[in-house]
Amino acid sequence: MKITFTLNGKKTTIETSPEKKLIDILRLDLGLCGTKKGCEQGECGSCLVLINNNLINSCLVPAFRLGGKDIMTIEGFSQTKEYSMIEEAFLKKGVTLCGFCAPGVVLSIANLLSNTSTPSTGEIRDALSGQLCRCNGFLSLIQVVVEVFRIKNRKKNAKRS
Amino acid sequence: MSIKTILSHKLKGEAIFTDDIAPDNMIYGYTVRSEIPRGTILSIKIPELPGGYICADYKDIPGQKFFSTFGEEIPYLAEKKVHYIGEPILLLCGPDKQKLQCLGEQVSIEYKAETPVFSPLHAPEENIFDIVTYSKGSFSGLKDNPCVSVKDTYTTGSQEHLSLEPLCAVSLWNEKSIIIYASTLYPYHIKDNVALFLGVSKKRVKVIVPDVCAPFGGKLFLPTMIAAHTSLLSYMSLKPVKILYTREEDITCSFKRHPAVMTHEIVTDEEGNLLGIYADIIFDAGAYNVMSRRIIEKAVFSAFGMYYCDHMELKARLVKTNKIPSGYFSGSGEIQSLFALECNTYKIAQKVKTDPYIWKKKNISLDCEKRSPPNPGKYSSCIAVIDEVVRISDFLRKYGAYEAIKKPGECGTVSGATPRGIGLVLCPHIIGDFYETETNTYTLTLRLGKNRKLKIMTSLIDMGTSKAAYFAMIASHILNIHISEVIIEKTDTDNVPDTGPTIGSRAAYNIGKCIEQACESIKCKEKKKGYPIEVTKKINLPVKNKKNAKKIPFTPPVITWEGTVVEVEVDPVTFITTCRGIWIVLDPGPVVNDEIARQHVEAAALQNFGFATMEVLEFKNGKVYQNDISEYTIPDITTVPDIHVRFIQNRAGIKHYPGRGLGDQAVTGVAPGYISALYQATNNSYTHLPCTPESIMELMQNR
Repeated sequence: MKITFTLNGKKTTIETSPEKKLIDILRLDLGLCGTKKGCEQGECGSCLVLINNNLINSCLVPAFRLGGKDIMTIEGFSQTKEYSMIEEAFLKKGVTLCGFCAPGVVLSIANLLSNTSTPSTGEIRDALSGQLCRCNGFLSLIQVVVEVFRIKNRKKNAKRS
Repeated sequence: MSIKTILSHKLKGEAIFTDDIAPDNMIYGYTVRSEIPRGTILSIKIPELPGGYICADYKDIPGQKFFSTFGEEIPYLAEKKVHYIGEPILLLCGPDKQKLQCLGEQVSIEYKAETPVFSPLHAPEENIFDIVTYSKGSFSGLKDNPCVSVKDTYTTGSQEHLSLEPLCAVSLWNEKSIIIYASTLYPYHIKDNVALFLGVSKKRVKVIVPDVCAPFGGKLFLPTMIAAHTSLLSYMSLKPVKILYTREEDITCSFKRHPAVMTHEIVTDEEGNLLGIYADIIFDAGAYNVMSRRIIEKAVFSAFGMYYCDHMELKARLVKTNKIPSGYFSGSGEIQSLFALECNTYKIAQKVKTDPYIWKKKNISLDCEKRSPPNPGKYSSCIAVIDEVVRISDFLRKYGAYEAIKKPGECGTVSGATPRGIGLVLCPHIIGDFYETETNTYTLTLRLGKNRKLKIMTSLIDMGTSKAAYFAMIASHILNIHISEVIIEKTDTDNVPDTGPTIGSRAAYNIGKCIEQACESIKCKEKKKGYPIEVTKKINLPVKNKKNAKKIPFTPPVITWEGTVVEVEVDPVTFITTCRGIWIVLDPGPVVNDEIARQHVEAAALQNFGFATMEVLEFKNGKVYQNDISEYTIPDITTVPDIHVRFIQNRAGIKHYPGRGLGDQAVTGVAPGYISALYQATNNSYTHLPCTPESIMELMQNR
């Protein structure tokens, strides 16, 4: 079947079987390997993408559900100014990740950024709860998110003044 | 690539993992596995294969049919006998993954089943892979006099590494040589073994390691088997071949942490002075012996921890069963052994009505001559570690308060407050894993160019950015160059020398020390000769102290001290336990980067917390019961407790760097700390890990 959707801001049309999963379309057909395949069961969060601004495990989404959707992967999000704030926070806090879960973590923070102005620790934990990680103890990721919002508010205040 | 650039690549999803490698005309591999735990293969029926699909069994292997694991040799493909469910028997490859799976499921194997052994306790004598005994004084004679003792049998389960990146390899045979991309911690292990496997010279095998997610040492030996499988299929099909394990395969067929059964006894006089320690440790090795000696050494040392007395007796053995092989897992051996020891020290302190802090300080052996190679400062930092963790956690006040209000023999308090408990643990960690197996052939190379850019060439794998950061910081400090001027060469066996296996504490101690020495050499040469300056260093082996060889066996040359306090609160109705906090103080020597070190400790503490509270693989007739992540629970961001980390940086005996050791497994004290805290809170002894609310409830109801 032929499906048209918006991918990272660009209208995209593909010919695919209806049951093919979005993660395979991204990785195998479109060469977007930033979205990782960890479990194919919607459990680990390595394949997270934003669909219509909602955080979704791409390993669970069949092609026939994609028509007309606005899909943002890490490749697209990394071009935004919101991404720059997240990277700045990671560097400032000196947080290291192996890189496999990192795109999912970044998109989880992106989702929180677009939905909240000053999240509590509980909200931060909820926002990152879809992402498993064995390389990091999570506590430093909470600090990164706090730092992201600090940067965001600093930039907002600078713009006002 | 600078550390900043590496991190940026990872965050942007630009890091390339093995599954991201897809050469033109690539086909896929599929592994047909044993469905029975023990038996003989009588016949194999293979369905008719369509064009473009081929199969391979052990007869197709052109060279050596086994690979080494620092233990016994493991067959790449079973020949006649199978020893566990999931053992590879046959390989298939072809262009369509779904069709391949369909064909694989149609393969029919007839077996003559034999009686399997699932428990090391019921295994016959010939199943013992390795055994160590040690005896000093007369432990059994102790009870002839008045004394106090605590004896319990502890069990720990099989733990899964659960690397988010599944095992994967891609091989490209071009009729002369082979290129292998693999998710591995030990690229030269693949290179050397695949050369023997294919019967080609080592020069014709090139291993490239893309980015790797391999927490807790989970990709040390098994990637060699997968790389050999893809290499054989590529060799036969003349096409690039990829094998990517499904999550089910990854969980059910990869090596695990050794389950253990440990009977541990401590005897003191009535004042709590330590008189004797007894330990009987049995490890379940699974079907093959993977580096058993290393596991058993660490367990033997840790069975006595920091205590030394006149009457000590120990028996440790590693036993074959017909389950998945147990393999390397950070802290292997010591994590199980210390759990039994430290739970018992807490109990004996309570029994002699002393708080555990006083008991430990009274009984810690500071006699360097007896206990370990002499190293001034080593033992003083042990005291500093326990003092500091007690201080920052407010242990003494809390312990006293919880003792004062608890109802004797119940999970309740006289005040009606929710029962709480607090555990205290002191652990020595063996550093520089693999020092026994260091061959003295491992090297690394540093090259300083005339632009004063330094290139570090090592086959160690960078998990996270910690290797890059750690090595770069050492070099930057000694050579006085900016950290961005230090380049870590990508792991490609054509360009980097064999530095041995990537193990956290080995990288920190053995390799870090070697980097330091190489930088010092460059510094000397820089004054005398022109650029470029290249220095190749052999990895230094920590020297075993022969004088102590007759003391406790396997006393390691280098140890790091860990003091851990865990505080819990238990709902007296549901027995749901809340961890109120974990405090960890470590003496890892000089810390190169406080932030990265802290993150390592937090991750290790969380893994140990999972080991204590939720993580275990269940086996049903030798088969792993769980087959996806939803069935094997690990701690996530919603369950992570507050973890407070401090470092005591004792520089005694160390010139500049590295730390005495801080690798993946810097923490083993959370599990015994958690169980000790539960012991205080509920007045009940828990001896099995993981300890879940259900198991607490069962014990409380059966009391």
